Amino acid sequence: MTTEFVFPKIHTFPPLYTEQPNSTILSNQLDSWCQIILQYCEFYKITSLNRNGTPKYSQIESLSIDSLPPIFENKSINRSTNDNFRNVIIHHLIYKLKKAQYIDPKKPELGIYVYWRSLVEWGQLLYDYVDSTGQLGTVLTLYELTKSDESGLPDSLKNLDEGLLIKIVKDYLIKQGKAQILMNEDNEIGGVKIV
Amino acid sequence: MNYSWQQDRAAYSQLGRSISEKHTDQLSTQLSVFQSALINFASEHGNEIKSNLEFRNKFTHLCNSIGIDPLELLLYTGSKNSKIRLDNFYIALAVRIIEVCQQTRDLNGGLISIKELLSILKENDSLQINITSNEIEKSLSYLNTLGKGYEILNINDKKWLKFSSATGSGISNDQKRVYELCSFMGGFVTYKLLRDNFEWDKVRCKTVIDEMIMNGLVWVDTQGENGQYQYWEPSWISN
Repeated sequence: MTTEFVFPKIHTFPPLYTEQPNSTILSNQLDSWCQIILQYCEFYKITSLNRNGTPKYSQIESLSIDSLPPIFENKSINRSTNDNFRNVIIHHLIYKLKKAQYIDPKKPELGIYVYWRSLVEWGQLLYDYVDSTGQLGTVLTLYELTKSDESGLPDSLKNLDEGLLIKIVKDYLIKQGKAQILMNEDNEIGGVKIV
Repeated sequence: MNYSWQQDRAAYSQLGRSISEKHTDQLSTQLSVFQSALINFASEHGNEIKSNLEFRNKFTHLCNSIGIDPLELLLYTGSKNSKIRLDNFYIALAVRIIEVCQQTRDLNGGLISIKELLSILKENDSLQINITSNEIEKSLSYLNTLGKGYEILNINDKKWLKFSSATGSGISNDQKRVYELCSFMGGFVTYKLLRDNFEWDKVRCKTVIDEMIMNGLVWVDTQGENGQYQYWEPSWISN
């Protein structure tokens, strides 16, 4: 992975880093920020962010996640958002645009899942993969669903964060009646059956 | 047995694909033929369309059903002769300009540079009509009968279009001077710059700037050098 994400021009507009007092402008500004976050995460296949906006998990294994250009800071113009504004932006992303969710609503410090692809779309991808490989009704381990090289796992699903995978299954596929989760004797998730 | 069933299935789906591809091709050719016929029709029967209400309704309905904006037809038929534009052209263009102004108001507070306006018009136009800034001015003159809602301003030799914002307030001279200074300074002003250049006292700076923030004409930046607040004009983003 050699290419770097190209931020849109507004990322070098200094006032972008200050919460605007005019509410109409602010709502536009928050939309711009959320666009940047979603494009950035999609580019690097980042599915979760820490609370401070730094990347937490990416599907791209070779990516050194700590050396990516920061989202909320622009050194070339010497600007960065403060913690408070950062929280406002993330709040907008979660509650207004519904493009993110806390990993654990009881522990917001754990960070957020970012949905540049919605849970429904993820669920569909997963279902299509299992269906097209004739594995409907088979119990599959989390490893088989995210890491396996043998069964033609598509790139879009490769290395998917297991936490997110479970969320996709629980919040979408199970509700659709399309999946079951099987626990092992240690009360951990032993496998997933998609039907 | 099983094998041949699979072969059949593959052959059928292949056939199905090629049939539906053919259909799509044919349909899109038909549609584009129809579109150009419609354009010709509109330019030939322009007067009839204009004068006959029932005919016009039917025509508009037809346009809508195949996804053509009648306004675009008007623009196109009015610009067929590139030297002499017809009234139709200017009127349709004026409507387009108003649309762009409405769409961008929340971002720019009601002041848009002609350069930006032209590039947005170009983006939205599927028939690729060349529009110049003179033509924009001319079509705005058609709107004068509706009151002075749209006005061309000259700021540092650049043309801007000012349109009344929802609050109805116009652009004051002071606000205009703030924009002038912004364009000298590469996009922003500070209280100090306003004081040094115009000898405004603090109260005047604050009154003018606060109102401009309220109207969305400038954005605030609290992280300027030496802790000075900077006030930026938003068209910087698209320039």
